[in-house]
Amino acid sequence: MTTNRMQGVIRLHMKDKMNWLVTPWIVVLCSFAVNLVISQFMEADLYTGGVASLYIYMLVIGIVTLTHTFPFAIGFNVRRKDYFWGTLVAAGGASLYSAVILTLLSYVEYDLTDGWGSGLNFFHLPYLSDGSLFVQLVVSFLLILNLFYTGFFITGIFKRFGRAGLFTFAIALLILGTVFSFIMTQQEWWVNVIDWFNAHTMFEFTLWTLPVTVVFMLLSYAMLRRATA
Amino acid sequence: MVVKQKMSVLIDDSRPIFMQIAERIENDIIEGRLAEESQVPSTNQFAAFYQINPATAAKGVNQLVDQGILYKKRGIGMFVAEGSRARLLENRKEQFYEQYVVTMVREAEKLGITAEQLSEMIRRGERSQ
Amino acid sequence: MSTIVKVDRLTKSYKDIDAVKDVSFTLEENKIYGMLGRNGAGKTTIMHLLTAQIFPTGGDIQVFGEAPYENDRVLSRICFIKESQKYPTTFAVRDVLEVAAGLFPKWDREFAYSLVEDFRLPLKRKMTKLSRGMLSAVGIIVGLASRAPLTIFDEPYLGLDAVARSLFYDRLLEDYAEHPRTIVLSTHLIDEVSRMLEHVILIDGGKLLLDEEAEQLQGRAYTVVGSSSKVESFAAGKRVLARESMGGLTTVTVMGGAGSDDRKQALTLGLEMAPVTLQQLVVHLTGGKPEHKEAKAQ
Repeated sequence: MTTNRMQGVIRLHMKDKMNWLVTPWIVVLCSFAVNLVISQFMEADLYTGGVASLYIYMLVIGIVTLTHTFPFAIGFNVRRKDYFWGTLVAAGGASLYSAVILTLLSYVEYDLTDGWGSGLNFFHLPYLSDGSLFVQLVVSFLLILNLFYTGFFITGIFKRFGRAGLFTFAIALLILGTVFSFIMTQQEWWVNVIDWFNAHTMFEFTLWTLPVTVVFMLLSYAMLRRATA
Repeated sequence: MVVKQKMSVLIDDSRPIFMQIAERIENDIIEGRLAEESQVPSTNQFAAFYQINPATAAKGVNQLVDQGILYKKRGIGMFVAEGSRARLLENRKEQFYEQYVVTMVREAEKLGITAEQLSEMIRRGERSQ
Repeated sequence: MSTIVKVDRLTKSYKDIDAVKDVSFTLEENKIYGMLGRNGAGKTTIMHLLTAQIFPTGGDIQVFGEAPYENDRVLSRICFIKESQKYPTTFAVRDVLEVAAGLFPKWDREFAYSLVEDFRLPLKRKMTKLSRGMLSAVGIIVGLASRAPLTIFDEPYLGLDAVARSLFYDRLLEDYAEHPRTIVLSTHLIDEVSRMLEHVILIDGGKLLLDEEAEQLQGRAYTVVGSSSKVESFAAGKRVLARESMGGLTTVTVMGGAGSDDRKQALTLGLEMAPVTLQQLVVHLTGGKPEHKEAKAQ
């Protein structure tokens, strides 16, 4: 019975394939097309961050999903728990789907076509795409999932604590961020940060986002348990 | 889709609905619309027809079962018992006496109408029909 | 009859307002209930509490013998159709029905689609593009086709015309006869549903005002008309709900047993007696004018 209703939630999300699977790729491929055209006219190799639109889009889905589907699901008497796990499966699946496509395109770009024949570096970027295909897949997957749950967490605050709660959180974050960067500058620690990135691969960095993602998930879950639609 | 003409207008709020359902069935038997040994609509049909709660309809029907006017055939439904029309008529005549005759006589007394005048009035009423 | 809902001294407070205060009642299996009361009386709050969509401040709720919060054994057996139900903006009517099919264990697909035809709903149309009446029809279809052992309709038919409402009553009664379940109806159109109700729960100002079999309520109150002096002598010692005078004539609405004693007394005094409908009774008891929410919404 439990799994049935969790499946119901997955089905609920999959009713919106457009939002999860199609639209993000339309955005990315549009950006890709534009860059491909530009690269034709450039002599040097073109390096572009257009693929970031995919990650940003996942952040937006994370924010929007909760607002769109949580009140509906709760109204149809879904347990908050089933909603959470069903959404996790849907988000995990969508992240894997996009990560696989990203990796394949990176392979085509770097290994097969040498920058689509025009020196375009769109899906395969230095440092970010270092490592084997499997490593690239894991990196993309974890990053996408992280961004989804960042968005999910933000809306979770809104659902649980309302506008005032989200506002308070934003202010707190702003103050913390300011203090943090002030200290970093004062102590001249920024250099250390750059050193850290130099000393670590993208893969290692991405692994560090995993605990952050898990914390966002757990906090979201805790908030949903007491949230009213 | 055809919307059924609702028979809910046949029910009023002055008396319990189940009594009115029972009365409607009684009337149908007395006036011959429901013959003896014929099947009576199910309680669910009554409920849908009058847009009333099935439990209420069942209560009305069961009242007639208790009185032996209707009887249950297992698995088939509800039927009009033999001799029920005669029994109902008998009951109704008794009710008629209680409800109309007694009150009429009482009212007549109050107005000083004699028994002779009263029966003349009844004859006049018959003629005007 | 087994009890499926047991609410004990339920209270829900928002800051300094008690939306629901000390309400206790039970619901029995396979009955049709009317939960009546004015706007803001607390009906909707109670229904949200029953389905654990909001959390009580005090008191206890048992549904199917267990606490409903995060309890799938309970929640999967309830279908709560509310006026304010939200749908994902990208969803078409068909999507809602398909998702509902996956969420309600007793869902009857064929029944759902026959209802879609009855209500002439465009399956492919987006929920956001539906008229108020069509939106209500979707809720009604989900509520009926879910066949949930506890089905709650809260103002299910805003924007629906008389024909569609009558259709709803027909389908509800037909399906209820074949698949008995507990149904709670909350509505302003009391006259339309009063004969379908087996039991009435009346809420006013967050409190329970009445919890009685519909049959017992029928004839509980009645109106008596006659010369003022006679009406007053009749009304003496009785609970008068309303009183109106015009010239030498007085009308009183009295709450009583409506036993034959009252009837006889009125008769001997030469007073006219008229029954009070459930709707009028509710209006009298909750001390206000009848609401016209339906009219406003259209």
